[in-house]
Amino acid sequence: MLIRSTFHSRLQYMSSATSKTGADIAHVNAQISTGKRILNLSDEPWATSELHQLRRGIQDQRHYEDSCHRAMSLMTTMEYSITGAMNLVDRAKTLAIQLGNDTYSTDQRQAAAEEVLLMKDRLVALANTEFNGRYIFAGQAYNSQPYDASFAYVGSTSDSIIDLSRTGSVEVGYDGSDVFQGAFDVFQSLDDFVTALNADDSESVRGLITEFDAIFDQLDVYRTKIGTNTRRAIDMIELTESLQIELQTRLSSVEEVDLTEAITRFSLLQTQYDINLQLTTKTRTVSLFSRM
Amino acid sequence: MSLLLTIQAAHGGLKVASEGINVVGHNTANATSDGYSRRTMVSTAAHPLQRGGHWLGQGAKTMQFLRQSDVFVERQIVKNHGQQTRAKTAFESIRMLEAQLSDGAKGSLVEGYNHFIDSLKQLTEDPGDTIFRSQLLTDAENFTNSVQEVGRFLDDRQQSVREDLELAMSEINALSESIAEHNRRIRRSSNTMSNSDLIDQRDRLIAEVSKLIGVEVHFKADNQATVFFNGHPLVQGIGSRDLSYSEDSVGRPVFFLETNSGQIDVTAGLKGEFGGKLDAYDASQDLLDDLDTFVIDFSTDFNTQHASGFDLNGNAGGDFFSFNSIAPTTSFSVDSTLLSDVTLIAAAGAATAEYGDRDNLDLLLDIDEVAMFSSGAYTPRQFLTSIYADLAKKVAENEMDYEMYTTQITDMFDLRSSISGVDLDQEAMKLMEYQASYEAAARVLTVSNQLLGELMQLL
Repeated sequence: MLIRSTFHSRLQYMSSATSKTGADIAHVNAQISTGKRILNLSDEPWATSELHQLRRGIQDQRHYEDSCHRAMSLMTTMEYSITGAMNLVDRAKTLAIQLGNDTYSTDQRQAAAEEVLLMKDRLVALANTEFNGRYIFAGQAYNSQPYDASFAYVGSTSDSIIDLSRTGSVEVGYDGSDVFQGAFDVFQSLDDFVTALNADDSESVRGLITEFDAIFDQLDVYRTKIGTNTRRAIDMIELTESLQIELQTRLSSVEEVDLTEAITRFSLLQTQYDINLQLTTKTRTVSLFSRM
Repeated sequence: MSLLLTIQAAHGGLKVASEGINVVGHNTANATSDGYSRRTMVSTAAHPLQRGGHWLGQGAKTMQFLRQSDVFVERQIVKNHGQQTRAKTAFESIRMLEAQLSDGAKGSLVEGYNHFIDSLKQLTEDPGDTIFRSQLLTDAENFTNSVQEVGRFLDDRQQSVREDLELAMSEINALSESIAEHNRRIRRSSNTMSNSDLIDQRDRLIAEVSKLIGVEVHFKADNQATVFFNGHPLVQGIGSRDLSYSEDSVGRPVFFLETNSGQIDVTAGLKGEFGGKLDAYDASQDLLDDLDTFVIDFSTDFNTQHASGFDLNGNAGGDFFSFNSIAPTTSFSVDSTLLSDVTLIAAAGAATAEYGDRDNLDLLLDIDEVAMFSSGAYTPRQFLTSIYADLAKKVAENEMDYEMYTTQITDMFDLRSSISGVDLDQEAMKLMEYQASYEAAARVLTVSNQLLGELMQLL
């Protein structure tokens, strides 16, 4: 308890109290205008690590969401191409069943051979499918056509992948030689088919039916794989979206200001500031000297 | 009682009242002066005159002028000045460093690093793509630029601190000499109003020195003040010692107190503005050391891994980052050869260097997950985050210290004000009291003078 309170000390007290209230108003003002509770890390140093982790987490999830979309585009293109190839193989099988029948003439078989040659051209065009500058059946060498004019595979034997998360990835570019020339070589089979048709060899033509079945299955394995991977990408998109919401919510609760509370506080501080100014004015005039 | 004695007593009353009014005038004039201690006047009855077996009063006289102060409070204020100013200066200066690191902003260190790693990740999706490669180099350059910028800012801050401290040396030495001179003048003057003014002036100078370097003061019975700095006398009686500025082998400011037997290193005892600036200098140095560690360790590991990979032409990779070992932070940059040719980024894991080979990129990305800093405690990103956290902690600690010392010194000032401060209402009442006393004495003098006049007419 102070014994004496001087006129000067009273004014100084009012001055420092007003200045402190002014500083508080400026702080709350900045919080309201930026929407952030933590304006500088030093406001809450212990939150630094969590803030950085949350911001990083959101950035990571955005990146993986983009990757998922990119992977889905590539996989969808691959699926279209493989389905196209399977349709061609199916057509080849149908032709083999028909032309394996002894009732067909040599001319009819030679005419069919022309169609098969065209099918081979279409098939190689599918194997050379390009999407957004990437040859999707060239493996890691996706910057150039995997099949040359002589139908030889010149691509990479390593698959191209995209990460969907920190730990998971999917193939977005297959080794074409595995897809089309794995256990069963679709180009070789078509060549054999053409040779058999030109030679009017119905037995060899019939023998190719099971081979086309096997090729169909071989392509179907990849189509199934793509389907599974596309499902994974869709799941990951959902996951990254919900994770982003979760992380953003947490970041908001750590970093952002409660506007209702801040505006109420601002209003209280304004009243306080006004009172301080009035008190200062009154204190200034309350002096015995002014009454002498 | 004779009329002459009455006139003499009235004269004494006039003199006392007049001197009282003078004290009130002095007090009110200095009501807002920093460090002023109010004066009070003590008056007493003049020695009586013995005549005819009676004691006849001779009026009043001024016994002394008192300077109202408390030694303990004055000493505490001097001490608190050093602590409070140190915390304030350190807080403001380190807060400036925090602002420069601009957490969360696009050009900040952590964000720069994150963008660099994001670009690296993006490149894994299309390792041969020229645009992605250019983006990686742009983000790497942005990151190294932000590290360099922070480094240069820290260097500038340290240089400013050195210059400020060196320039302020003469100011401190002049203040010390002035305190000693005031001690000399106080010793020579008698106990009068002017003596009190000299003491106030000297104490204000001591407060100024304390604000600069933080000192303690001892007052002696003869009103002499001894100023101690870090336990050593800086001013003793009429003698003062000089402080000198120097720098150690790594450029850190050091301070010496000159004594007859040589120099004493008093750097560790610095408080006040100097202590705060030195704290900021050390905080800058800690930051620079951390950034140097980051640049050296991260670049070395990254370069080693980059050299293990192969570029688009199938050649082994070169350095990705470059720096010089003398000033790693301010020289941190992307290798200039790499900057001129994006194909030189060694993304592939084999010399065949297929366009989409990302094997080495994956290994480069793994570095982001390796706890290589602080004895295996932090990954590169965590280490950069810890730099922010450490700095934020320092700012918060200094702010808390500043608030605590401000509260302490405010309390002390309130206490000082209650003892030494001038209260205008009290002075106004005294003024009325002295005015009444003066008017009464003047009236007595007038009446006595009239009576004496009438008596003289009888002659």
